[in-house]
Amino acid sequence: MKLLKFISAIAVASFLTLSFSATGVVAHGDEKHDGIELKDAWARARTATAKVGGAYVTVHNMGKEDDRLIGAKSKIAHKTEIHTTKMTDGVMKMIPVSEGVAVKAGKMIMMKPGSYHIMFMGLKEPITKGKTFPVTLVFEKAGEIETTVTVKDAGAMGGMDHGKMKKAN
Amino acid sequence: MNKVFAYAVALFVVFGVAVAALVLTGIIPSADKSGRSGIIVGAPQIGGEFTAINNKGKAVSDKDFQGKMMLIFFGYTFCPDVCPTEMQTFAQVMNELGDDGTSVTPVFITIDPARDTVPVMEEFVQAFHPSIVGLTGSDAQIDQIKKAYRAYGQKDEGDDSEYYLVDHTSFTYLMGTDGKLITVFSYGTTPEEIVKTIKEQI
Repeated sequence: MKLLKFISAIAVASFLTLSFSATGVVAHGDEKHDGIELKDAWARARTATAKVGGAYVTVHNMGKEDDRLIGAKSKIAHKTEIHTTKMTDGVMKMIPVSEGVAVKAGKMIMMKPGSYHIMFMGLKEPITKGKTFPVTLVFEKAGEIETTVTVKDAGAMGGMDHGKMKKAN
Repeated sequence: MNKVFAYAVALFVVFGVAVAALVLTGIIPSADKSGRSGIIVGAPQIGGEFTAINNKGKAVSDKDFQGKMMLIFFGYTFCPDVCPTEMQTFAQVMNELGDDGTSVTPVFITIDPARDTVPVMEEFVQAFHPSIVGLTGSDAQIDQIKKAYRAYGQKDEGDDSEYYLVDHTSFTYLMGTDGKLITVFSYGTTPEEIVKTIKEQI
């Protein structure tokens, strides 16, 4: 009898462990973790020989605590960083955001062309249209959250295929 | 004697005050401090002679583009954000122009000729629209074009040797069939607006 109880205990423990880890399984596109939700991860298709690429993700802090996006990781490139595009007097600069991006409680950061983006440097695989690949965003409090990037057209302006989007200057 | 002296001093003072008043009211110009921000619309010194190599590997010069308008953007293919966005705008402009598209050549000029070689340029422009001409060349040729168009391109010094980023101006230039500047669009101008301006010229 004792052995049976023991085996049952192990079985229950395993089941619980498995189900806890299962909650971390990737649901395509959307990821929630400690109040941080990631959605609409997308990238622009790059040429077959391109060495760098960019991706965009919408980050929504649905929790009660302010957080900060401090980095990114991926297996598709040697180096992955968060960059932004700044324009001063007509000159475009694309710079790594070393101090991170604040994502306050209740706020949303929508990465998009001309603004924040995940920069892949030293691509190990080509970023071709239709491909999907994982990328991890690193947060100060929430830690690492993985999401799946979908590759769109080379000149796509959004992850949701809005078609012609007017840019306000 | 005293009176003369007194009158002379008075005259001197009055003269000094008068001059000061004239300077303050701007009638007499003071040292020029007018610093204008970089507005270059209509400036006659944009454009000019250049030689380059196009995306098919052919040597070209500014003369080869005359007879049609040119829509020019400076950038580099390692730029994942700004340059693809503008190339997409170019593609949309060409699509919207339809048959009128034969009156303008869209041109993408690299400010990073070291990495943007002919095959790289060909691959890049083909991803957006078959009519886009890519121009690269030697450092000297690209420097000449940059100077002619007052375009800025500066490699980010604090960066990796392989994946360095390049800061650059993001204006789009519309040149006339004679090679003279028609207008400059700032980054973010919609394809519709560019199409409208081009159609007005036809």
